[in-house]
Amino acid sequence: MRSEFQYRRPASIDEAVAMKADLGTTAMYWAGGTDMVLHWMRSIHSPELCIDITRIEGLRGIEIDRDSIRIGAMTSLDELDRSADRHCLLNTLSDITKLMCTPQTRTIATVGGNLCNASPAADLSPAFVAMNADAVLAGPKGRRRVRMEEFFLGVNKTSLSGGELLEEIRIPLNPDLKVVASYRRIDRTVVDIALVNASSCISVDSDGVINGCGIALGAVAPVILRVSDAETLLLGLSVRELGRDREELQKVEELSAIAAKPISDVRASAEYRRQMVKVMVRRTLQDCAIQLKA
Amino acid sequence: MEVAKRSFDVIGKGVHVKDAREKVTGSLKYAVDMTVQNMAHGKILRCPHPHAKIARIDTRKAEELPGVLGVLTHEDVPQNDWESAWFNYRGKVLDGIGRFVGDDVAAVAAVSSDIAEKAVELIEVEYEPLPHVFDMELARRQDAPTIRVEGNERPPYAVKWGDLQKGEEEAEIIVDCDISYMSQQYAPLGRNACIAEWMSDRVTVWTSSQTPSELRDGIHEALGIPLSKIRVMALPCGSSFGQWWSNNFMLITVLLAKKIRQPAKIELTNEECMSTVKRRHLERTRGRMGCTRDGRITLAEFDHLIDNGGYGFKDDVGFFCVDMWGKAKNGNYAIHGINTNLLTAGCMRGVGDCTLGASVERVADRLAEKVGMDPVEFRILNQITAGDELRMQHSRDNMKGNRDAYIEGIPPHLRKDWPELFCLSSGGTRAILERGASAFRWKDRWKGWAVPHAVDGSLHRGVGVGTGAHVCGVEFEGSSSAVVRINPDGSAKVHCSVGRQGQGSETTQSQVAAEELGLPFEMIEIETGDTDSCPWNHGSLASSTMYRTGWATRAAANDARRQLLEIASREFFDNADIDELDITDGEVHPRAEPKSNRRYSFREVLNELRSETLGQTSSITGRPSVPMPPSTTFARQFGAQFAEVEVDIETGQVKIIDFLAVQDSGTVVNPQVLKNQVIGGAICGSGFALYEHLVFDGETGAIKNANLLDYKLLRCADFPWQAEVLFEEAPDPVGPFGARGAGESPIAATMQSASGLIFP
Amino acid sequence: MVNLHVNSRNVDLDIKPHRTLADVLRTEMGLIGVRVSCSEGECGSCTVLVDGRPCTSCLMLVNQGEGKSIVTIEGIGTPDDLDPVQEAFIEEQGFQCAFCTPGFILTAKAFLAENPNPTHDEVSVAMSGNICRCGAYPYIVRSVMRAAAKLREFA
Repeated sequence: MRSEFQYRRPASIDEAVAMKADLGTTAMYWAGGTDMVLHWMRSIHSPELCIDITRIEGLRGIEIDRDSIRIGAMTSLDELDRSADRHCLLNTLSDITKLMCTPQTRTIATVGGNLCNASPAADLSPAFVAMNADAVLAGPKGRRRVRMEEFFLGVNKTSLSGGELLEEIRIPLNPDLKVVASYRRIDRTVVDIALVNASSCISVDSDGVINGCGIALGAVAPVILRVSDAETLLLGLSVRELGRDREELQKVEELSAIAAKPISDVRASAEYRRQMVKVMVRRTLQDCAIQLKA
Repeated sequence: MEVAKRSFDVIGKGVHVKDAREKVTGSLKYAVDMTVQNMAHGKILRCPHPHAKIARIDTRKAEELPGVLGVLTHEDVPQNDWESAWFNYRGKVLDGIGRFVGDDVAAVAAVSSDIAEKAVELIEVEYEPLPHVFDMELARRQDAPTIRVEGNERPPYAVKWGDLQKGEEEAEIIVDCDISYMSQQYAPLGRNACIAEWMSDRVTVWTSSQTPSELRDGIHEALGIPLSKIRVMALPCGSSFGQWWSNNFMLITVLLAKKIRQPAKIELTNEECMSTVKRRHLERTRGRMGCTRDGRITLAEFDHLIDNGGYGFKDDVGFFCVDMWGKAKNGNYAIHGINTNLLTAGCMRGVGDCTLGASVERVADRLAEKVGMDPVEFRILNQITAGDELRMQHSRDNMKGNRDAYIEGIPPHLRKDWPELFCLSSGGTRAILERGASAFRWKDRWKGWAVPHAVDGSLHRGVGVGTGAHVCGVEFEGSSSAVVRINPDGSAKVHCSVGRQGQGSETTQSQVAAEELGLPFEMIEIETGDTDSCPWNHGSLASSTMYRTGWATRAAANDARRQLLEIASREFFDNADIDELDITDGEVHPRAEPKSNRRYSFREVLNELRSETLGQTSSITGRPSVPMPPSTTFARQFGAQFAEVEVDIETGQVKIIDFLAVQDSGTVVNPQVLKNQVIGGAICGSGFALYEHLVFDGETGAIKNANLLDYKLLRCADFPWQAEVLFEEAPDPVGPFGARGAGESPIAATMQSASGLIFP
Repeated sequence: MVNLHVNSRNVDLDIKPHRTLADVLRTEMGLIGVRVSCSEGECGSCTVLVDGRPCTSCLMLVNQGEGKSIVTIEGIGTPDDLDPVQEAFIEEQGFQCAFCTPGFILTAKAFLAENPNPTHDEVSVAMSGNICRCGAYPYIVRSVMRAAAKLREFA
C-alpha cells in the first residue's frame, strides 16, 4: 500500500540536508521524481516526507570552464538536451537524452535523479563513466568527490550515504587534447530502455595519437562496467587506426565481452547481450573515429 | 453476382466523425470518466496461485476497516455459468477456484478506492493449491490436471474437403511447418471501468463495451434475472480490439453493487487490464501444404492448437485463411482449443488470421520459393475470387443438417433475394494484389527470396507481401437489428447497439441511414449504448458492424422511409404509388420530377399527420422486416499489404521503411475512417510480428511484462508516416450500398508482409 | 493547501500532498481530458503543458505543479471554439478511439511552438512520446503538419 507523506521544498542544499538529517530514512530527496513516483506507487519506497530539491538554484545549470564541465544534478534531461551546441561532449550527452524516456518525461526527469536511481541500463551512466566524470556529493559532513564508476554499487544502489545528496557531475577537460565521446544501445522501439549499451570517450593529442580512453558498458552487470584493460590497449594508437580492422580492436571487443556479466530477463537473453557488447563497443569506437576526423 | 456501382449523396464521403469535437477537446466520456451519485469504489482481490481452491476466506478484518461498505466472495455469487460472445469466457462469476495468477477471488466496496485497496489486503484467504499446467501440449494429456469440468480439450473444430491422398499424390513439392506463436496483449489504452446501480430489482450498468447486448445477456445468465430488468448503457471504449466485450469484472461490479445496496464502480488499473482480463491465444500450427511444379496447391493439411487459458472456450478460428486459400483442391484443417492455467484468452482482432493464417501464408511462400514463383503471382493463382466455393461450408457445428438441407430449410421468399450460399459473393485478392504490386513497384523491388534489394553495411533491406481475409460478421449468435426513428421536426435517430472503440461506427451507421432516408447527414444522430432503446445486436465484433448492423440500419431506414412516403402519398400526392416518389435533401418529391416545386419536408409530412389525426403516429419507427441474410455463408473482406523492411544483420534490429495496404471491403462508406482502420490494423499487426508478446513466469504463469515499458507497442517513428491505403471496391449484393466488413483482414495481411522476409 | 494555476485560473485545493498532478486535475478539478492510462510515463495520455513544456502529469506530484502555469486540453479549445491544432486533428482524422488525442494535441502544440516549420520525420519523432494503440500514426503526423501550416498562416 502506498505511504502517505508530507511535502517540503527547501531553498538551499544546506536546508535540504538538514531536513533529511532530522528525519532520516523516512525522508526522501525528490528530484523530478519520475522513478520515485513509480517506486512509491509500488511501495518499493514508503516515504513519510518528500524533500523536493528541484528548485534549489545551486543544483541547476550547466557550466563549462577550462578544466571541466559542471552539470548540476537537478538539470532536467530536457535542459541537457538543449545544451548540445555548447561542447562536443554535451552534444553526445544531448544525443543520449533524446533516447531517454519520452519528451514529456524528459521535461520532468533530472540528470541527478537518473544517476541516483542507479539503473544498470541507464543511458547517461556509461557515458559519464567513459568521460571520467566525478560525482560531487553534499552531506551533513560537507562535500566529497566520487569517481562515477564508484558511484554505482548495485541495482538501485549508490555510494550516497548518511543523508548525502548528489550535487553535480564534473567531467574533466584537458585543454591540450581533443576529446570526443559516443554512445550506442540496443533498443526495440524508438522509446525503450537499453537492452545493452556502451559508451566510449577518446582524447587525442595534436598528432592524432590516443592519449586517453574510456570504455563503459551498461545493462550487462548490476553496475556500469569500465573495461580498463581494453582501454589500455588503445592508448598510443593513432586515431586513424580506430576505423580499421586491427587486432587491438578485436581484442577490445573480446575483453569487453569477457568483462560483461549479463543476465537473461524479459528484455533479452544473456547470450544476446554478450554478443551485442562487442557490436556496441566497436560502433562507439568507430563513431569516435568519425567525429575526430570531422 | 455483380452489382452496378452507383453514385451516392453521403456514402463514400469523408465526413468528419460525429464525435470529433468531443474527441479533440477531451470531453468524450469513457467509462473511467463516469461517476454516479453516492458511488462506492470497488477493488478486486486476485489469486496469487496458478490453480487453487479457496479453503477458507475470512473477510472480517476487511469489513471492520473504516470506510468499507461490503465484501463480495464466491459465497455471495449465484453459481450460474455465463458466457461472453464467441466463447471468450465461460464460467461462474466467482466459484471459489482460481485458475490463473490474477484470477478474480473476491471484491471490496469502500468509500474510496484507497480504502478499498487497503481492505483487499486485509481479506484472509487460505488457499488449497491444485496441480496446474501451463503448456497446452501437456494440458491435453490424459494425466493433466483438470482445469475445466468440461475437460481441458473438447473435440476439434474441423474443416475437410476433397481427397487428401489424391492431393498428396498430385503434389510435386510438399512443405512442412511447425510454427509457434507468442501471446499478444490487447494493451488497451484507456483501461476500463464499470458502474452498476440497482433500483429495486432492476440494474443499470455503465461500462465501455463493444457488445452492449451481449453484456446484457451475460448479466441475465449469471444472475438469472429477466433481460427486461437489465439496462446496459455502453460508453465509448479506448482501443479495444475485442478486449471489452463482456468481461467478468463487469459482472463482479453488478453483484458488488447489489450486495452493498449502493451504486459501485470498479476501475481497472493498466496492470489489471494487461494481466487479468484476457489476451490473444498462444498458438501452434503443424501442417503441410503441397503444390504442382506450376504452383497449384493440391493439398493443405493443418493441425492447429490454441491455448484458451482458464476460461476461454474458443476453437473456431479457422474460417478465413481456409477460405482465402480455397482454390486448394484438397484440404483438412483441425483446430483444438485447450485450457491451461494461464491468463484466460479470447478473440483479439484477426483471431486465427494472425496465427493460423500467418502459418498458411508462410508455408505458401516456401512453396512459391521452391517452384520459383513470385509470391504475388502464387497468391493470385491459389486464392479465392468471387463465385468460388467457400470451404468453411464443410464445418457443420453451427448449421442444421448438411449444406443442402441447410439451404432447403430457408424459406424460398427469403432465399430468392440472396446470393448463392456457400460461394464468395464479391471481391477477392486478385484485384488488390495487382493494384498493390503496381503501386508499390513490387516487380522492381522484389529481388527474389532472401535477396536484399539494398545493402548498406550491416543494414539490409527487402520487401514482403501478405494477404488476409475475414468474415463480415457471423449470424450464429443471433440476428442483429436496428431501429430508425424519424422525429416530428424532420431529424432522425438511429438506435443500434454497436461499439464505439474508435472505428467510427457512430458515423458510418449514420451515413447509411442518411443515404437510405435521403436526409442530410447532419440531421441524423445515433444511440449505440443503451440496450433499453436499441434492439439486440451482436455488437462490434467479427468485423460485423458495417456489414450486418449496416444492413439492419439500412433496412430500418428503408422501413421508416416507406412509412414516411405512404403518409406523404396520402396527404400530398393523391395516393400515388410510393415508388413514384423519392426523397432528396430531406424533401419528398415526385421521382420523375426531382426539381418539382411539389416537395414536402419530413417535418411537413409528419406535422400534417399530427394536426389531423391527433398525432398518434407523428413520429415514425422503422425496423428491419426480414431476417438478415446468413452472411457468413457468402461474404468476406480482403487485404493485401506490401512492406519494405530494414534489418541490421549484426544486431537483429528491424525497422519498417515503407508500407502499402490495399483493402477490399466493398463500397467504401467513409474513406478516412476506413484508411485509419486499415493502417491501425497494419500497425497492430506489425507490432505483433516484431515485438509484442507477453512473458509468462515459468513457475507461476504470472505475466511479467504487464506494463508498457516492457510490453513494446510501436510508436509514431516506428512506422513510416508515408504509409498509404488504397481501395478496391467490389460492391457486395447484400451489404449496405455494397459495403462489406473491414476490421480484421488488415491485421491478418500484415503478419507476413512485415515479417515474412525476416523469418522465412 | 496547494495552489495551482490551471488553464488561466488560480485554485486553492485542500488536498494531501501524496497525490499525482494527473489525479488531482481529473478528480478534484473535473478535467477529464487529462487521460490516465499506463500511470508510468510511457503512454503520454496524461500530458499537460507546464510552463509551456509537455509533461507526463501521472509522474508529477501535485506540489511540483505549484507556481507554474498548467494547461490541459480543456485550456486550449472547446467544442465551439477549437484550437487550430484541434481543427487539424479533425480534418486529417489523426485519431480513432481518441483516448490518446488530448496528449498528442498538447505535445504537438508545444512542439510547433518551437518548430513552426518541421519536416514529416521531425514530427514523427516528436510525436513518439505518446502511444496511439489504435495506430493512427501516419494521420497524426499529417495532422501536425496541417496544424503547422495553419499556425504559420495565423502568425
